[in-house]
Amino acid sequence: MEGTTRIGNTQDLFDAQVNQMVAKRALPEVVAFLFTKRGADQAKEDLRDIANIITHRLLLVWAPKKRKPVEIIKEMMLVFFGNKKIKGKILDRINKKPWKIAIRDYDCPICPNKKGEEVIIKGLHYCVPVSGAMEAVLKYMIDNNLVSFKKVKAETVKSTGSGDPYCEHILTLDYST
Amino acid sequence: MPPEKLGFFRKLIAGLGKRLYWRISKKMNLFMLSSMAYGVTKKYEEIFEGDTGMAIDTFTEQFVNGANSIMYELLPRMKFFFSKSLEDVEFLSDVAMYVILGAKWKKFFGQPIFIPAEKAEDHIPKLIIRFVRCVLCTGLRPGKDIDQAKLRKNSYGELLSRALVSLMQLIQDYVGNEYTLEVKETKCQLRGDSYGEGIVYYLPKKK
Repeated sequence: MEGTTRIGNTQDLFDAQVNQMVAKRALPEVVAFLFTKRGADQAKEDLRDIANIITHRLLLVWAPKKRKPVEIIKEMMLVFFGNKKIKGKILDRINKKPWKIAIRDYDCPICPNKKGEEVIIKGLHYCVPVSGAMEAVLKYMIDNNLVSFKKVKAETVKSTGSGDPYCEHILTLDYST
Repeated sequence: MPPEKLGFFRKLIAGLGKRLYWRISKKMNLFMLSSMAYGVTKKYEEIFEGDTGMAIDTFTEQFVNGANSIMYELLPRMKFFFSKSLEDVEFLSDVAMYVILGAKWKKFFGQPIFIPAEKAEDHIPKLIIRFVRCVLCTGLRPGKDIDQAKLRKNSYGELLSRALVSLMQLIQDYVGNEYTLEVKETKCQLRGDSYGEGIVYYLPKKK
């Protein structure tokens, strides 16, 4: 069994749901640990790395059906977090193709959603793993030639956890080869 | 003042309440949660320079703290369903699992079995929890994703039993019972067992 065989059937887990509070309550401890041990900049990178590992595991059993960037993100957020409150706004285009897109999340699965529970950490948005997951999914689409853009960068610029009215992630797409 | 034992009415309300709570609560993909635990463990492993045991022990501690904060949040609503009787722990475990995983919880956990002191060989009351499909071990490649040989205090899936025990300890303290709860993981899918198992011991509190 050592090495290659995976335990059980991952599809069983993928088809089931869990109360979101479990992740929401465990994450503050992780963020605090990374921030204290590694500093804000490195903690941000660490959280994005964690999101990358998570997303690659999920891509073992799931792949987006949509092909437009905003639609892909909406599909991802619904499948991963049951989140339907995502809005995409194209900020700029090149040759009619969107290259800068704002993804606004009005129901962040990670940030505290009650007034007064904000966790303001200087230089670190609480839901930075979400943009890490977005980037990993879009890179998967690029690697499998499923979209026309060739590079992607996702960055979290606003978060309810830091006191903003909504979370915002900026996608920057590059169509050049 | 908590009752000595849960009656029909409280059990009925708890049965309805768990369904309502699950229905209105926000949910996420279970494989996502399982992968979060894996992702954090791998990152910590890197931070602790390959020390898997230290990575797992650190995250287990953090996860248990998170679980405790869930209980503090739920306590005002849940305390109506606590009793001093250990005979009710099977029922309470069922309610807790439903609140976290919904009706499908039995796909992943076996019905917890309570063994009272008078029926136990060592005269220690205990609760046996089986992980039919371990939500943490599922999808892992033993020896490749997590190296069992590098573990220290906790096994990889032990954070689930430790979190559960921590919640049960809070309940026992709340109802005023003099027990210290300890858990031992007796079976683990990552070690090659066909299912995971944790035994919770209700030890008399040392004065």
